[in-house]
Amino acid sequence: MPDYFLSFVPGDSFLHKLDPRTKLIATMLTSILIFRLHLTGLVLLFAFFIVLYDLSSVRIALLRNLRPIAPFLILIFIFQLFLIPGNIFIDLYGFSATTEGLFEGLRIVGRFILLIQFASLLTATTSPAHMTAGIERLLRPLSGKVLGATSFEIATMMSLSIHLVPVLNRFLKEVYQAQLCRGLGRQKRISGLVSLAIPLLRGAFRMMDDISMGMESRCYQGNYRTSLFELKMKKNDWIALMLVFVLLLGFWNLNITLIPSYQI
Amino acid sequence: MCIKPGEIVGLTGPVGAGKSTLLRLLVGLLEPDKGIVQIDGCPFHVKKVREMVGVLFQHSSRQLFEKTVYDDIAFGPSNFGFDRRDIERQVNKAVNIVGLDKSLLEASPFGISGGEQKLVSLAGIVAQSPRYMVLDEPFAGLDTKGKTRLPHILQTLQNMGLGIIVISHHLDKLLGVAPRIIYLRDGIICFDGQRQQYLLDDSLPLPPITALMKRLHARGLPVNPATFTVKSAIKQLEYLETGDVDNA
Repeated sequence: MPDYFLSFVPGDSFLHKLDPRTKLIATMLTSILIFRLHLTGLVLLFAFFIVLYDLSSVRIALLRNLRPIAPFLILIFIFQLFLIPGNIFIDLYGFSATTEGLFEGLRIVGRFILLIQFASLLTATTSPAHMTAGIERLLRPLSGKVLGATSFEIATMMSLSIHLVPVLNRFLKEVYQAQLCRGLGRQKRISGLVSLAIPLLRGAFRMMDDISMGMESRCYQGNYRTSLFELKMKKNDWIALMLVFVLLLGFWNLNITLIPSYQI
Repeated sequence: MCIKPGEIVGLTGPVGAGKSTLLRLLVGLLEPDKGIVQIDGCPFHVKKVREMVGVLFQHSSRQLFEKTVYDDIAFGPSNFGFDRRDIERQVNKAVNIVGLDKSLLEASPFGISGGEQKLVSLAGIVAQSPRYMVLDEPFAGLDTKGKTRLPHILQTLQNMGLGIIVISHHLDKLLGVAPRIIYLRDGIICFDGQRQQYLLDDSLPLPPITALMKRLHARGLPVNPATFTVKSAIKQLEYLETGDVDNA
């Protein structure tokens, strides 16, 4: 099980072997579809997710992925349930829950859950290096004026940020221990947070400054560079993309709802 | 090992010997697998320990965050429940002990030099008025003025009855402040004893000046083989030159 939210799990499955570009485009298309669909469609899409999950052979903690956003999901659901007018089925101290609210709430929460699960499948089966290479290749046609930077610069920025995450994590731990010894957590909670955030930000900026100076002093130019392993789309990639396209077109107008009278 | 109040102990050893781990054990950031940590004979209680033991971490200037130096020094005492008047008294006392310029108190801790930042973090710990202190590499990052100042600060704290552990790689500096030395290797205490004994033990690393004086002594020159400061070495050699062997 991966330790962190949205982390990479090494493996050798069908999904791991796909080109990162295929996976990125497929995830993007699926996300568009998710926002288009109603409840029934979402359930079908969830079935599709389970198939992919099985194919990936990684065992990510599906429920744990939701933990960071769980409070928001619950809040959204409650708001929808009680604030949408319609057929009342429960009356709680003047607050009335409606059938329409229930389905709308389920739909919105379902969308978020699916988005997160598809994204976590993408990150679990694609290593950060691959992901960066994929994004770089996808952005290459937009290099220069459109983006304001070349796709290589963006790729460098991304891989640098990814590599710095564990470093900053260690840094934060160090500062946290120092503040603990100065009595952090005894009284003021907010100032406690500030006492961690300011040293962390300062350290991060300093680190970035050092890195950029180090790179410049070693003649980093930031222009076009060839890579050792150029990405290549294989047969499987095209098949997978075709499948996702078919899915997108097939589901596009799938607006059958569970209750015929329910139309939002 | 046991550290008494009013004692300065120097802890040294190669990289990875377990010095920082020992520090974390002493303040309850880590829990021992085996054995116990006791402070003043009391059973180990994390919250109490943090009040009794002040720690200066290696990169201590990274922990500063308040708007002014004064607030930063006051952070510890205010967390430990001192009231406002006590905090002011503690901060003033700490600033006096550390020898920080009073005009810096209203400055931002990020606008002062690295050496001053180190002194500010040290003052922050002194202001907590702990019974014991652990200082990890206090000499690193200090300017020349700070380096000459630090032994005096430690002396003052020792006179106030504090037990102090100084962890350092700078052997010559460490020998200058700590009469008792502990040498750690691979998590095992290889040596624990007085400074003079340490200097006479050939299996332990020595500061370059001691190694030189030992060699001179072995060649038959009447010098003290347990010399660890350049100043005293120069004095002895000068006496030799003038032929005043008795004084040497």
